[in-house]
Amino acid sequence: MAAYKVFTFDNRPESITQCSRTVLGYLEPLLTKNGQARALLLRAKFIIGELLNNAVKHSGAKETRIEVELNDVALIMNKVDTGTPFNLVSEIEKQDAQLIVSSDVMHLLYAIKKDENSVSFFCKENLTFELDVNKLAEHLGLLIITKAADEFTYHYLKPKNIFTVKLNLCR
Amino acid sequence: MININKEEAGYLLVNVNLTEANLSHSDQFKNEVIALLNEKQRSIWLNMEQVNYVDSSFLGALVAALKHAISLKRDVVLINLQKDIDDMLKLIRLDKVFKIYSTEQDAQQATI
Repeated sequence: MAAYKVFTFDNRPESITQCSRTVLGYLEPLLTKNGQARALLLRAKFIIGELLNNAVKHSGAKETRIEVELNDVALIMNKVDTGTPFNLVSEIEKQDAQLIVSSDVMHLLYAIKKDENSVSFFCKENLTFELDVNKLAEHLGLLIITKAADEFTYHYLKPKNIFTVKLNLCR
Repeated sequence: MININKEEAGYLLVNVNLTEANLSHSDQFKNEVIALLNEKQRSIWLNMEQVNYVDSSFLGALVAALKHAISLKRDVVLINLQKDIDDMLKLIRLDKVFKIYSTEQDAQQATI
């Protein structure tokens, strides 16, 4: 099993729904044919929506490429643009050092430096939180991708920003 | 985008008239809910049965509306969530933040 397709997104908010449907329309029969559960498609749906949101809000570019690759072990999605670099790569100085990207009473979202040009995101849940609604985050996009994905990384390959999401296939 | 379905003494039942609740709608949705909270000074029970997708922007708007409601000693309650939406809320643990009920009757039994 191997499939690869590139989709172009025009970074307009009114195009999010159509682009998301187009990508999911491509993925659904592929995943269904290969016996993947509804849960995987749902996670892909959440992630695609947030990648497109991120493009609209933050990329500063006119266009975004969404590359979708399905192989025997994983579904991999790349969001590629040439817009504003995500400054995390430069903010974290040393390899394996980590930085809190966002936090609220329920989650801590970290970026960890993988190499000179890459960070990987991971999340810790606060399991003993005392709910204070006023301390809840309202910016949830990276958190959703991090929690829905098996791996989520950002790579800066000048001038390209590449967000890569990996979802392991059900075995 | 939203309309009042029913006005009760303790709450307003409000329909969310969206199927894809995303970035395109989140600011307007937040403003409409907050305006309704200010005007009616009652909790808002959002009937979400038409909504089959929510994104982070819309969830952020829901959280902002809840913060405003709490500041007025009111609440924002979610009713009739489709399974995908329920799964999204559970993924980022917002099911621990919002009161969520299958039906208005369930919500009445639990809260009144």
